[in-house]
Amino acid sequence: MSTPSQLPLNVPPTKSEGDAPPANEATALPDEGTDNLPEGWLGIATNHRRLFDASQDGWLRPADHTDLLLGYESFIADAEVPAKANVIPVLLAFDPRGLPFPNARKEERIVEVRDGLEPLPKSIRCTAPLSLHAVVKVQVPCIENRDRLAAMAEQLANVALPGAGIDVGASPVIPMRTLPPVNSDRPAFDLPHNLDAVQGAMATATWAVPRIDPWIDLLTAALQGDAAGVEGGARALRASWLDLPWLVGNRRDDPVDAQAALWRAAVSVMRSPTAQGNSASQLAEKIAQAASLSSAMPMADAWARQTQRLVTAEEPLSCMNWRERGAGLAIQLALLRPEPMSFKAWSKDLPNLPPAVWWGAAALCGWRHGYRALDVRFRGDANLQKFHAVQALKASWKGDVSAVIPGDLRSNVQRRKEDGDCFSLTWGGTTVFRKPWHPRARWFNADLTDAAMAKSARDLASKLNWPCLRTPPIGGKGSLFVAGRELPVDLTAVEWLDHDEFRRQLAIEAGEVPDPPRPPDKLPGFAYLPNFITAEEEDELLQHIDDAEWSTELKRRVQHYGWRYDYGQRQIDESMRLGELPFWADKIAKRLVAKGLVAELPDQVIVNEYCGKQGISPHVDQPKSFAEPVATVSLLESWGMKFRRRGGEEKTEKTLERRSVAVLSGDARYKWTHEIPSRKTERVDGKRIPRERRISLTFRKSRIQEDATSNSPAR
Amino acid sequence: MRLPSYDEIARVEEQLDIWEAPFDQSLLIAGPPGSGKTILAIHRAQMIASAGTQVVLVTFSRMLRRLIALLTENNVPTFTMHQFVGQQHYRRKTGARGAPEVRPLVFDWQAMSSELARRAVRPEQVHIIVDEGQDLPAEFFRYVRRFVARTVTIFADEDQALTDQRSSLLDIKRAACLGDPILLSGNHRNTPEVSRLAEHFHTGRLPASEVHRSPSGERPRITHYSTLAAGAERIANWFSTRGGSVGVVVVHNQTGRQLQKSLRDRLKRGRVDMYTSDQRNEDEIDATTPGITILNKESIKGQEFDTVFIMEVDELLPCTKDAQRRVMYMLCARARDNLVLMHPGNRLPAEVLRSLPGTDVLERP
Amino acid sequence: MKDVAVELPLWLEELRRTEVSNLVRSDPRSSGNTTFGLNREQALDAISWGQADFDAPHGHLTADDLALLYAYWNQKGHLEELVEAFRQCFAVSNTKPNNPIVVDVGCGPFTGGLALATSLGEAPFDYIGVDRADSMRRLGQRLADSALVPGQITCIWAPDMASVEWAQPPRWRDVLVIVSFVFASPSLDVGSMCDDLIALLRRLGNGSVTVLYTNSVRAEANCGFPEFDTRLKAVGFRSLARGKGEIGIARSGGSRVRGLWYAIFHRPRQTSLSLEGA
Repeated sequence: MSTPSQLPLNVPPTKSEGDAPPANEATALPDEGTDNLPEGWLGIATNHRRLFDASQDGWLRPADHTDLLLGYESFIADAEVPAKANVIPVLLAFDPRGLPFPNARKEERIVEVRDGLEPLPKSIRCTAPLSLHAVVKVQVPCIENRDRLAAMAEQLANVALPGAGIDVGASPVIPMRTLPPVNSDRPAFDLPHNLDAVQGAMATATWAVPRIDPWIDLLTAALQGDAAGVEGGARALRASWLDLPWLVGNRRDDPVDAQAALWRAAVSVMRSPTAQGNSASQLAEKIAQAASLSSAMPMADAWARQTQRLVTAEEPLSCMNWRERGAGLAIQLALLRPEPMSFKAWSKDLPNLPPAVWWGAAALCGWRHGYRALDVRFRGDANLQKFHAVQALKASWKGDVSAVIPGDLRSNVQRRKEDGDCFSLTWGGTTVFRKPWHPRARWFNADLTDAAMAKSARDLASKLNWPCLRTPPIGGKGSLFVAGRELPVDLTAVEWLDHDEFRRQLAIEAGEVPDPPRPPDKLPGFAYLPNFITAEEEDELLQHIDDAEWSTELKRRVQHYGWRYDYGQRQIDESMRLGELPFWADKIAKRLVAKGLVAELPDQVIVNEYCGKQGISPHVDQPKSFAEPVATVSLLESWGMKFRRRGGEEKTEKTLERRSVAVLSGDARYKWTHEIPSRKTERVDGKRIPRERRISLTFRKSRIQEDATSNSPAR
Repeated sequence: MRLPSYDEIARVEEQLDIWEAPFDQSLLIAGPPGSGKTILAIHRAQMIASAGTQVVLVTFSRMLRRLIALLTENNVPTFTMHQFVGQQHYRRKTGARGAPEVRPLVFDWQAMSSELARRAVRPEQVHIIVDEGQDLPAEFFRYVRRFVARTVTIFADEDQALTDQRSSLLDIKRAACLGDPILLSGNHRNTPEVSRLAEHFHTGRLPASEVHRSPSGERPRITHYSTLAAGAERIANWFSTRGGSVGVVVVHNQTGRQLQKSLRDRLKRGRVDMYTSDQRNEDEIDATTPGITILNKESIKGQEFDTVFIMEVDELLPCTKDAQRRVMYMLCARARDNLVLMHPGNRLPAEVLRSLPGTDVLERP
Repeated sequence: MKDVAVELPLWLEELRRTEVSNLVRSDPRSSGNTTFGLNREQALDAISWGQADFDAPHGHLTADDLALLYAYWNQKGHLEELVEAFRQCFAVSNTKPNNPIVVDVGCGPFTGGLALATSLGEAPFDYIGVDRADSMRRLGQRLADSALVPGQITCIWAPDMASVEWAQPPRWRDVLVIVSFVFASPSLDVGSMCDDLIALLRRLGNGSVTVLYTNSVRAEANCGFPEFDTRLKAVGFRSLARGKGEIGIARSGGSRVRGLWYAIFHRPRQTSLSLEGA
């Protein structure tokens, strides 16, 4: 009756000792060598299952009942390799400097395992978990294996393969031998029990940080364990209850208000082992109980009852009067939408979520969920992952972190203003986190002394009903006595904006805040005309262009008319003359002259096709080969063109709308480079639209003809 | 698409074996609702596509095809069987539009086969993955193996079939020349609380799957609504507090339409969609995004939602026949986290109440 | 089997005292050295060393008297044997079953359930007690209902395997089948018992199944075993261990050794559905 499985899994009845793990020889490549590995590297030959398992939280643990045996500058087979056809052999090499063997290179730590007569090479027996941040090489036997490994990893929410990349090749593997009995080697290091929670909270807190200066500063203080800094920052942001979960234990036990008591209770209840499998209402009850122990407030009870009504959908969640109940709201959010994946919808579904509530709830979710189960999209890149691993360990362990994770880990994290309207966090010279500012931050940093900006700010404040508009204490009709003489006056009270209060409101208050108006143009020499051609003309041009032949000498497709341009020599000479412009291009060229956009009739047109994320890197059109103005007509889609001041930091971006013309002369032509950034989407009216295809026609006047022929058509 | 964690996949050895199965291997896999057939089918398709082999997903229902297309972000070609066969016939027979039919929507497999055999059409280097295979006729599997694909992976349940052209697992096994089906033993979708209620309606010989999610503590609930508007109020409150994807099952499309209007009036934000097979509006609905999707009990097959409300549940109870139990089982298994059964009027008849599990499984007001 | 002295836990001794010994001792028919007026030899004869028809009154003894006599004289030894057998059984597989379903074939007064509760401690399990004697099942139920029994045990009782009222759907739960001193019964039809067992296992699901067979060492008591062995192997079972064993029993300070014939069969989770054979 027992039917053989459909899966040819080749499970041998017993594991034959001394066999290397099954290697797929199909397309084994020659050994890529282990020459560039650090001295004393340690190797293990394991399999993709172990790698996936470890990649979930970045720690390779010894399996139950066995130790890891690491080869000294060699790979030793892992005891845990199941002999199945499905399983992909994986070689891992570790940097010994960041492993829990402070004396790894001293001979006494290197045991010679003798099995019968045959000595084994030097190896280290390991009872402690190993950080994947110490991995310097990941290798699989063949390309098919690498592709399958990557394809499987893509289907997992929480697996980020080590940043080192995956090599393909064969390396000798030393078979595993039976280990001698354990000498009472205590693990040099074991993972602290709350590491997962701390790292989870750090990751979601970073991901969800309100992107405005004071909050980012609060995050950096929290990540560095600066409890006092966090306390002060939170008070300034009118959310003194708010503390990051991993710091709550460190806080001075001063008398707390009801909100702070509730918050601390939630932080402790949500990670207690007895909270597993509890429903939202059960948790709420436990939190209220714990909170009333420390503050004996009837508030906790009322909060629990209200949470219960939310659970049964008798009333909806509302952010009204959030200032008096910020902690309660944040906890309710974290209870009712416990999955980190539902963060994204929070701000959309609840547009009146104030930053403190949003951020507190996000951190609490990560705290409850843990890092291991956290989706990789909340973890950032390899640099941020390592940063969080280090900071979480520092926050939950007393030992020396640099003994278990390699690298220089002492630096402080710093906030930096970045180009392109972004900010970043840097750590020891590496950027670990980079995001665009929130529109609120743009207001926050805007020049409010600028009259136009101040007016927009007043409008915003009054629209959102923020208490930062002040009126003078006097007004109306009356008399003024000056030097004994009575002067009739009529004073109109003018509202003025309290800048500090406006900035505070931006940081703490709820409400949808649009982008501030852009500062005026700073790109002299840039002329722009929308709708330079009609839709019919656009169609017509496209037909001519698509009927013509494309040159594929570049990554993007191009067509040259009038003069051929040599991209290698970056110039034209007389041999490159192609002839007159075709009639359809000539028509546009003449219009450029007629509208006064260019002085001379262009004699060269380059048609560029940009698809998807294709772009063109920063450049200045050859001044030697071409006359001053360069005109670009855009077809099909509206894409941004970026300008950077040569030798400076300044930059700006202009949208070249479909059917528009942009003309560069003066500074825009010579002192600024221009480029089409390589990216997948364009921002149109605040929405990201995926790029498909844009065609541009660049009209230029060659300088050669100017010198060679005096009767050029333009003269 | 909500991807699983590795811990979730690796919890059951045989599940991991299927998940890791080499991409050029044919498989027949059986499992009850909630055992993750659709998700596994999508994973396998995406892995195979990402490793560079041509792969096509085929299903029966239009709404499920749409769901799969959304979840794969159109990275894997996905068709209903009717689309697929029609299109294949055109491609393989150099120009004949539309496959021969004996009556509308029922293909003439014999005519098709002899035609293709005469042209010596051979299967190609493509991997066909079928979801809800029990809804497709056995002839389809014979046709695929003989003319279309060298490798197939078929997912099926034995008791979920919707149509009269259904296939049993044995039909599929024989038609597609595969071994005995591998059983999916794990349930990654439902919380243990939801699963316990679903199992109350279990029928058939496929074992109820082992729930791998941790308990949420939130039991399914049965509750009443005095008017449909009051019911809508509940759902609207739920959605505005909890968010996520909400599926609302109705017995009558008419109820669904009223409910849709009522919900739209109440919710300023968020999507309220209704799908019916006669409207064929599946392409306008993205049931994977947060929002409310109203469906009847036939169309909800293969879908899953964070929360499911089953309206008019009084008309589905008590389950006296296996066919009725299958419907309730399938409906309950749609809910990932929360399940609410709702009925109009104040109380249910005594025999209905008796047929329901106790309050340890189903909370009552 | 190893020579390790088995000692029953205090709760079980207390249970036997309150629910069995005290009832027998306080019966007006019992005197200093008789139970219901019968000395040890007579009592064991009345219950035919455990093989009597416990529903047929025997002289002045009612069916319930007989069951109680069995519990008094015979059950303790079986409990000791089973506790030791479970210990070894779990040692072979290195795990204890997780929330298993226990099928106790010829269960007597809850013998397998009490032994397993001893081995598993507080862990929960479902128990299906099968015994053709109503009186045995009545006594079993009474013992099972006692507050002294630890853990969460859900019990179902049936006169034969075909009439077990199992309401749960088939699942993937581990199943433990106890076939203890059943084959000694001359009335047993091994073939139809195997049919019933296989049918019942199918209703329970596809989880792994362990069958623990114990019996006296007498050859005639095990004459049905070869057929049992063949039938189990035909449905995918593998024999893990078998043979003659001895267990040490600690009794009133001293210890003695008792012989036992045992076999352990195992079938892993059935992860593929057999279509043609079904």
